[in-house]
Amino acid sequence: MPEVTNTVRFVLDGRIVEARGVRRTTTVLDYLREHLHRTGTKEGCAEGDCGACVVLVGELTEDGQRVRYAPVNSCLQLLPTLDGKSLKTVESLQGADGRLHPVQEAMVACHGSQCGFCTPGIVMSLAGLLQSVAQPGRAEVNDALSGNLCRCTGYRPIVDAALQAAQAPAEALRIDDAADLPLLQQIRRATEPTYSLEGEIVVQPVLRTKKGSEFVAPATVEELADYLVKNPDATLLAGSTEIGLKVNKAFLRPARIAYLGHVAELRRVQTTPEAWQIGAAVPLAEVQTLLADAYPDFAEVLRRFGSPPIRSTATLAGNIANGSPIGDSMPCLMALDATLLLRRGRQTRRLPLTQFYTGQKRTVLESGEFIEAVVVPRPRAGEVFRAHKVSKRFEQDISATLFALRYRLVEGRFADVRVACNGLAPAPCRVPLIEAVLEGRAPADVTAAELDAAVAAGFTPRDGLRASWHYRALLARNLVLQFVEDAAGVEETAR
Amino acid sequence: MNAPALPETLMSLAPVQGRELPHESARLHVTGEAAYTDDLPELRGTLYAALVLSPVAHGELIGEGIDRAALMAEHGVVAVYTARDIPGENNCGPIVHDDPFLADGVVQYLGQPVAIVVAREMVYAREAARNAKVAVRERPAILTIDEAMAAQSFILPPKGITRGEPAAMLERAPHRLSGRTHCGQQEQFYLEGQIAYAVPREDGQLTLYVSTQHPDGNQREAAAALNLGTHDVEVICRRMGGAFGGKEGQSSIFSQSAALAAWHLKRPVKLRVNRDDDMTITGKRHDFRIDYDVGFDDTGRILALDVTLASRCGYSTDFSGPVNDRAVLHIDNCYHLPHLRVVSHRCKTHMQSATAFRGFGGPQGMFGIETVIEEIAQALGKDPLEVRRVNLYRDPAVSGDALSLTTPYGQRIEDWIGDRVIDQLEAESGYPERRARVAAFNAQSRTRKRGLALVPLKFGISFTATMLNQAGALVHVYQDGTVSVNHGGTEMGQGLNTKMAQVAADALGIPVELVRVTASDTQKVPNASATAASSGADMNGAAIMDACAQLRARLAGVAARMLDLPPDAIEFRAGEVHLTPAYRQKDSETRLSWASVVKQAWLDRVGLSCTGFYRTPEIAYDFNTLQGKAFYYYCYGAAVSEVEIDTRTGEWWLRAVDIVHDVGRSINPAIDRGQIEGAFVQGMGWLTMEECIWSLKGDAAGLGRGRLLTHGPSTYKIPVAGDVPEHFKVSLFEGENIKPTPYRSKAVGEPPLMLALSTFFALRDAVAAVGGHRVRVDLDAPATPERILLACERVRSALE
Repeated sequence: MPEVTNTVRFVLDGRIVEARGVRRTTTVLDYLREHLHRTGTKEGCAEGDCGACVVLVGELTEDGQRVRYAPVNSCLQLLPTLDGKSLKTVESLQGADGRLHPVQEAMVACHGSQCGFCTPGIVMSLAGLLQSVAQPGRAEVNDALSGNLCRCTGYRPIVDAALQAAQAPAEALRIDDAADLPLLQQIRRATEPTYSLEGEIVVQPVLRTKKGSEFVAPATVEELADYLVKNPDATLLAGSTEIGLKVNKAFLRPARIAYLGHVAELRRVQTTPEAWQIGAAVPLAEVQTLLADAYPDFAEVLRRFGSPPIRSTATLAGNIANGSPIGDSMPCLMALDATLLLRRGRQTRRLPLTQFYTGQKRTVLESGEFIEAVVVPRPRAGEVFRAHKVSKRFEQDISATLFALRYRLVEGRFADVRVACNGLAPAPCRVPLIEAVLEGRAPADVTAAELDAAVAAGFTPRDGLRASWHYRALLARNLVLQFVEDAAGVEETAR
Repeated sequence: MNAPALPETLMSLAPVQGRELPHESARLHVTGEAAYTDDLPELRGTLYAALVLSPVAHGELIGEGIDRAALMAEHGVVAVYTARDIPGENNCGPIVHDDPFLADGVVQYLGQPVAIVVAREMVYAREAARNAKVAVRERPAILTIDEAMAAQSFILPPKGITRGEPAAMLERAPHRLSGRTHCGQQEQFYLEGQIAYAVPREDGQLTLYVSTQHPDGNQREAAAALNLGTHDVEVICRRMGGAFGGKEGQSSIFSQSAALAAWHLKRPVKLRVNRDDDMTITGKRHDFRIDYDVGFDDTGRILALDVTLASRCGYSTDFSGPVNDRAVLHIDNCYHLPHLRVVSHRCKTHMQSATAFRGFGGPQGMFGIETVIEEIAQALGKDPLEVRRVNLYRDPAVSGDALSLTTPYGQRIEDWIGDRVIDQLEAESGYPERRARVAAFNAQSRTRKRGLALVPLKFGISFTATMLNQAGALVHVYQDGTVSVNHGGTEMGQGLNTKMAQVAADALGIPVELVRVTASDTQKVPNASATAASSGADMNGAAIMDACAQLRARLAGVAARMLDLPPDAIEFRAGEVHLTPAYRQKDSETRLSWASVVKQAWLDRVGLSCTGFYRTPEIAYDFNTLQGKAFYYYCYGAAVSEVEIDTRTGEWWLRAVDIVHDVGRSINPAIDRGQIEGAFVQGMGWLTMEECIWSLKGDAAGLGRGRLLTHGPSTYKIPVAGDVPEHFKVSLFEGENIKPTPYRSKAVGEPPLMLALSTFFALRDAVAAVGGHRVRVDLDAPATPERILLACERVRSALE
């Protein structure tokens, strides 16, 4: 039976840090700066959008023999999520002999820092990139930096530094974690539920206060489901990109937080010939890779959804559950007829995503119920999926609107058309009126005027912070029109 | 008054000058070791402050606006202060004292600090401040330029310049057009937010660690607030995580608040605001509404121009006077405007006080004239570059017009190279061929259009407030030969301290490794101007040279005695004593080491510490009439941007950028290139994606308006790496400053920001391509995808 520690234990540069008596909402960043006085990691925005706080979080691979690193925004991650993991900060990179990591060296040589405040985060993002990609090109470097703001340099020297550092020998680039490995194995979290003498599951707490507030990290989906039935008010935490924001900006202090990151089942993707069943804790980065071949437009939406530190933690289920009217994944999923696997206790039900929302940020989820998985159908022969997001900035920005379209061409005509969008209604939704314009028609016959009429009839005009109604309505028509025109070049398959 | 000894040192050998040394803190930056204010080890007993902000844009506070007892009852709260607790002057206004750092009686913007809450932990202070109820009777607010103009709500009276007979010449011009354009606000978005750490000392003194461009201003204002002598307050700043003008005047809001709390409590107090509060409290770049009426001939020559500028200044004066003056002084950019009337309105609105931001009004003025140029080109069916060329300043000997090299404010331009910069860039960028390629692309592409623009710049260097053009330095030489340099400037990332170390090393003839430039400290160099107006290297470098020249003379005397030679035989180079040519027997004969001379100087009781001073010569300018020699010299540059737009979504891509920029003889080309690239990208952000959005809809009584909705990077977007093109070529113009600045270098901080005008006008050019360049384009900045698409729609409907 694993020990209940009431202490967050993580590995930092070859030693185990035991954090006791911290608030369950203490962020990794605040812990580093205020408790460990390790001030290299900076706070620039406390909302995951500037990257000054990027660190690498390490987890043992399945075989337990290596550490896999993910860049995260330490300002958003709650410290208890680190339990059982390792942490690398900018201070970790320099060798014991004082030698700089190749990324650091190249940043100096290429004049990649000016004020230097964003630099630690940039160094960590690039060091993280070079753990997983051997010879990144410019596009990969830009993507790795898409969540790192620099206000001084104009980025050119930073990108140069990344490309230069990538030329260093692999062993010089690799983060030294030889001393971390045995410690990670030592503090590894339980993978089985713990049972009381009465045979009941005892949910593993990471932290628990005298007042009864707690941060629990269940190891199995049963454990989680039981916990939520007993504690339907608990806040579910996966990527922390939304909860962390609310903790920092609105002083959110949930009494009970249930962390999904250690629930093995929720971190899995089950593949059948028809569909992928994507567990609720699978980070978007994995989903992006999973869908890249079948739905390249969807993968690109996910790439632009957020920076690598966001993608490495945020989840599809989190995006869906949060239910923002400008959520990016939902229109894509709706166009693909994705369904949700919802669970309450031992009961599960399947629900088309299109039936999930009942209003702005309101869903059909019942008390104690949660999204266990998102089921994404795999493409059938002849199916085409298109999606495009328009935002002020291409990367790490919020949609003005995003349109997704799925169809087949049968005898030169659209069939099985699905159109979905965000930004035009209180929740992401399908657009039946536009579907009706397309269904059964040849691409060349679809006119802008018909689409305009469908948009006008299908939505209540509403100006928003990110775009006026006029603009969104134009985008709605033009994005669909672009997909339709592109369809003319699509090879069709027989029914 | 010390006479700066610049020409002499200019002649000396300069082994460090021109070297691309990395930033002096580069290694500290990349390892995380560089300490910013929040990273300094905290003293025992440190408390944390947060600010209670006004929830309305305009109103009367009821009582002192807060419920003290309720706030004190919040968890962890130790003390609460309002304007009533300020013993001295409640003002953080740098010029006009109209800017209370804690609201008193009235609140004039949503976000104005009303009270300071001090608590045991930062999170407690912030939570208590956020939960505090502010008792206020709301009044209607004036928010936009249009509203302010309609209400004639001004922070300062209108000002302007009239040259020649603009009205008459407008009537007579063969062509005439008028229009209106806007350019937007811009948040400085320094990555390190505003912070001050106030530490009480004995006898009522205070040390303030502040992230600020202006330690002296923070020092004086904190002293005034607490009825202390200026000598009782010390301000220290080792480095900032960016500033861009945002930490010039407005860091005082935070340092005064921290100082007030620390002074009352006799405990160290840290005030670090989070990003949202920072953006909600502090001012931005002024946005401008620009109306123009221009008369021109068939060649595109501007015969007469009438421009009305109206800018949004916010609720207090701050730097709005000189910012708007600079906009007026840059309405000419590179062009001779023979008949001109320019009027500048400084609108008072219930918003944060708009403040300094890189370029300081210059970019907005130039945005105006460049829009006029583009309009003329479109009206005549010409390439805008051609119109730019015919309007350039010209040597009177060539033009036959005695005033063709004299600005509207009466300054004769002595260093005109604008035409040569344009010529070089046109050739380097292959502008004519690219213009043809863009046209060919547009002819065959239906939904995508490309645009190209070459825009030059001329930017005046000097503070327009003449008295600010002074600087001091303090140089110590220690017995081991190492040197500590202090100057009145501050390091905000621009590489000032790196350049200053190079200047000091050369001025003393020693390796740069022997020089350490220390933290800015008001107890080392007093009365220093803000590090602003791109003046840092020019002025502080000259002051350092002055100090070093004096030390060098003393040490030459010591070396001469050691060698039994006259002092004029002594030359310091690379840390060694050499003989001057007249006394040299053999080449490069080393006689003594620098360290041995220094040691001997100490033994001889020769002073090894020295102050230096500099004041910019020649400038003489009347800011009431906007006439005179406002600037010591000018910087020049030009950029070509090529863009592509999707005329269905308004999305756009920056395909290529080519720049030629004039930095004189560079002290450190790598640092200068970094400034140019960084400024370009920052300017590109201002003109294309950075947008401050306000809640302008209120209730029936007009209340409930004026909240800044874009108060973090999730909603306020600055450029990222992917927005910068792979083709981003920067050439430094070969030349030198005609004025004796350090090494005849030129200022570099602000001017290149305006190179980004090329991106905006390339976007405008691409929109014009939708209408075959036959239809007028109506595009305001920032040219977001939304504005681009709507501009395309207007062009399309005009075509129908």
